[in-house]
Amino acid sequence: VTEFAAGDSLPELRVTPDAGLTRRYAEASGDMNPIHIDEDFAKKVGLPGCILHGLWTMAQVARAHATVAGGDPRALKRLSVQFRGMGFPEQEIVVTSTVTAAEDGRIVTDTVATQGDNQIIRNASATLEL
Amino acid sequence: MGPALFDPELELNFAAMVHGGQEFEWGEPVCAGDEITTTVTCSSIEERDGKGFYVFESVSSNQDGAETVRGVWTNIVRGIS
Repeated sequence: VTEFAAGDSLPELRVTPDAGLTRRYAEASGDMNPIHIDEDFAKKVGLPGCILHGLWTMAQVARAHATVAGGDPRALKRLSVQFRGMGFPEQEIVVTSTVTAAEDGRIVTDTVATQGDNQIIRNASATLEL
Repeated sequence: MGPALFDPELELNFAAMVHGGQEFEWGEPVCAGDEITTTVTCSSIEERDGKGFYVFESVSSNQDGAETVRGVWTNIVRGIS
């Protein structure tokens, strides 16, 4: 496992949710809110189209951290995020994390997740035990 | 979370609701076959800039009583006033 110091970046994670992702995630999570899975409904309530589930997007931030810990999800002790912009299917998400503190095998990071210029998650704070 | 969010006493307007923030703190990992019990509390309801901020706290434990995850859920309802 790599040693990290404050100021270091974690390996960037890039992922593009496909058009069917929101339906699969809705069924797996139980969050069947139609703004995620019904294009017509989403447009009717003023959205450009179906939007990603925030918790799915959050899971990509978790994945970026678990990857650093050799894929062990137990290494991630805490994660808090703020959902800012709406995320959309079929657009690449880039997850970028910077280490803000490193001590005794624990690192704390600050993360943003973007789609183009749109920050869909920001001020994310993670505690990872390495 | 469902029973808490859909509690009629809260009168949450789902069409105008967005997930504003989320925090998780994990304990014991959850394995297939576990029985998870979750208790949810609505910890605050505030109005700021015409938006309603509904904050829920959840605590989940497995069949052995070990805490698996603790969550803080911030839901924002637009156009409340």
